[in-house]
Amino acid sequence: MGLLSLTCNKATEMVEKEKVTKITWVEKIKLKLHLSVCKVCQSYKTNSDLMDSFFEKENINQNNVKLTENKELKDAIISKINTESEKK
Amino acid sequence: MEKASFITNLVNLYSDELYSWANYKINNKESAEDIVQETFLAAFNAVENLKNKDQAKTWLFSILNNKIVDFYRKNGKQKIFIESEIASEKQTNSLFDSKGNWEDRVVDELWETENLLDNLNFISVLKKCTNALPNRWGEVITSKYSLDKNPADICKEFDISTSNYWQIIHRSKLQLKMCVEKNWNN
Repeated sequence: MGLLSLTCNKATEMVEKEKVTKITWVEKIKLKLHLSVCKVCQSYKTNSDLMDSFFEKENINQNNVKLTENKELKDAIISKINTESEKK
Repeated sequence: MEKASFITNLVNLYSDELYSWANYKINNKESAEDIVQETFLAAFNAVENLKNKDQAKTWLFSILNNKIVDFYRKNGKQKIFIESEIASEKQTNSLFDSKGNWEDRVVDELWETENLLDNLNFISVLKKCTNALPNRWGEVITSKYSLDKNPADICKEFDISTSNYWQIIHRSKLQLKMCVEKNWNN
């Protein structure tokens, strides 16, 4: 276990860390070294990028979720609001 | 009275959008309806807080999103999440030997297929595997790719640290890798 060595578990974790936040230059060198000799971790990195592209395409947020109409709910809320406002 | 008609107008404009979002997040019709109703009642009682009437939709969504978070907290769903997270963590740990290096040093040839993202079979397997992730992991992953959210927002929303955040992404991707390899038969 040299100073500059990483386990595969840590190396693949660092691949994700780097995407979220800044990593230190020591971490950068460690990761680069590891990836240059480990083809399984290289493959993980490729898979990880691939999954990123997949999720970006699939991205669902409150502006593009499929719209379902719910008339009963609308009416129920409106009558509830009217009752509330009469109370006051 | 003016207050009531203002909110009623908002109900007509946005209740379907709010309901669709709540139903997507919670995956339960009745609870989604309850939460949307509570959202409008809360809005009705706090209409003074809305400074800029043009921001009404954003304001409603922020009330709704808080209620969705509360819903998950209250329902003790966290417990179920944690259990399935433990199971998933065990599974992904089995990928590595006791030193933390890959148990199996062979790269599955499926990953060498060209244009995987245009491959309908691959996409459908990956979708199924995403749905099989522990709930909270799946939520964190989908939040990560929402255009309007940065890591700080997501950590706050899920009440996790930044290191938890990338660890969850790491674990999820390992789990997806295993799941896709297992279910892939081209």
